[in-house]
Amino acid sequence: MITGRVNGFYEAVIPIHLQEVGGGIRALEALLDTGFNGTLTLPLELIATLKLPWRTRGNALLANGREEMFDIYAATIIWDGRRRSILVEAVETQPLVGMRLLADYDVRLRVQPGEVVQIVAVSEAETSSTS
Amino acid sequence: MEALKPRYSPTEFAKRGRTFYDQKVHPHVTEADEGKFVAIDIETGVYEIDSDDYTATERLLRRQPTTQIWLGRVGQRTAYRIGGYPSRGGS
Repeated sequence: MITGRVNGFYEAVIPIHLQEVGGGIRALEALLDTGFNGTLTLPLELIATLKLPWRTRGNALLANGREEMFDIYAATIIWDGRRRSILVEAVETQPLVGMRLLADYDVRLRVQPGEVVQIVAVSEAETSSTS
Repeated sequence: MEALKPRYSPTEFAKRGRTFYDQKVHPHVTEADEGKFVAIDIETGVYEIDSDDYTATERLLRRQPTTQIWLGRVGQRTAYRIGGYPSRGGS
C-alpha cells in the first residue's frame, strides 16, 4: 500500500521512489492526475539529475486541446515495494502520476486538506474485503 | 554503447512517425489493437506494437539499437493525454 495526503490545494500527493542510474534511490512527491493516461511525468532537470536514458518522442494532447511533442525517457520506479520499468514524459510541472501507473490498484481518497490517500493493489483490497 | 539521442527535430519526428503509421501500421491494425502503443523507427518504418509503452519501445530497441523512435497509439491522435479529452475532436 502507498499512503499520501490531500494538500491544502486539494491535490492528492503521494511519495514515489525512483532508481537513479548508478544505484541510488531518489524519493519524490508526485500528484495523482486522473486526466493523464500515461505513467509518470518528471521535469527535465530531474530527469537529468537521475541520468535517465532518452528513449523516444511522442505527442500528447493537452487540456487546452493542443498537441505537443514530449521527450520520453526510461526509468525504474519502486512502486508498492516492487521495481517497475516505465516510460516517463518530460513535462515542466510537478511530477504527475498517471492512470497507467495506477492500473490494478484501488485509489481511496477523502478530499479534505490533510486527509489520507491510499493506493492499494486490487488483489490486496479484495483479500481484505473478503476476510 | 553510446547513449541514444534524438537526431531529428520534433516536427520531423511527428511527420515521419505519422507517415509511417499511415503507410505501414494502419493497414494491419485490428480492433484488438485499439489503444495499444506503436513504437516506430522513423528512419526505416520498422515498428512494434504492445499494450505497454515501455515494452513496445524496448522491443524495438533490441531489434535496432540506434533507432529513432516515435511513439503513437492505435486509434488515438496522440500517445498520451494530459488533462482529459478536449470538448471536440479528441479521438
